[in-house]
Amino acid sequence: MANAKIEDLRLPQAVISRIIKNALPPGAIISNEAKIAIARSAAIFILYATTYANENATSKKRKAVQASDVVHALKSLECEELEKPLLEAIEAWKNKKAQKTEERKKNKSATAAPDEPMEETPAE
Amino acid sequence: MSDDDTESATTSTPSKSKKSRKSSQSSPEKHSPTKEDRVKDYYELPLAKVRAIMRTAPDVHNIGEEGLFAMAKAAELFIAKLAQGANNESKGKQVKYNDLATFVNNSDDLEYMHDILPKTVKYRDVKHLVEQQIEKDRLHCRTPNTRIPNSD
Repeated sequence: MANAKIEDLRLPQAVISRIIKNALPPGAIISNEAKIAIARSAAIFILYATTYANENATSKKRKAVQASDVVHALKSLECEELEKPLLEAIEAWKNKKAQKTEERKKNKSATAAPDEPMEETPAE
Repeated sequence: MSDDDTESATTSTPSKSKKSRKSSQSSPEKHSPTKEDRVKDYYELPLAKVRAIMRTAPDVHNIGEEGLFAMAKAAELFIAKLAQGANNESKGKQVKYNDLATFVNNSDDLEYMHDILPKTVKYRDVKHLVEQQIEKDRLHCRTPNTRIPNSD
């Protein structure tokens, strides 16, 4: 990724604003400066966490960074309180994914069935 | 809670079905997810950006789909943490940059962020410091200079 531009590594401001808005109690106002600072620190957090996660993956002789590595990285970054919500999120995401694959399989078998009613209306 | 289990979810999913999705209708539930969904499996940060940032870390070979999601979610939680911390520090109507800096610099578990979010310093104070430094340097320089003619 030598050709990555700095602008490419900036997280979108609108999304950051939305996350901040959801995290704060309703009615709280946050200055633009603070938002930008949070966006930058989030990018740096990702970078640090990736470094730790990657270290953990390498120590276990894996090449791909997995969710467990990210959870481990949070420990290294002393963000233990984020661990529980993250684990919950991963669990929910996995379930959702499993559900999706199940659905896709179901749809596939449904389309493969020969006596599926056709949508087209017969021409008159 | 688990009364609206869909037929497809019976195989492996535990009883806590977080979204009452209708498997028959392919309606996209992108817009207006409730707050509970957001806490669980909803992510806001664009995964492509997160991946691009992750790739800049040294020696990263491969990023699994699961790892990517986990990182995006972790970053999101981190943003929320910073925002809440800054909000607790703020005294006025608006959460300012300095509230954020105070929160980060006061918490020891965010030590790696101290250099990234420094507290702002007033120009007056910096000017004062610089003047003091110059004065000190001048005194140090002068002492040998003034002594030399005296000793002669």
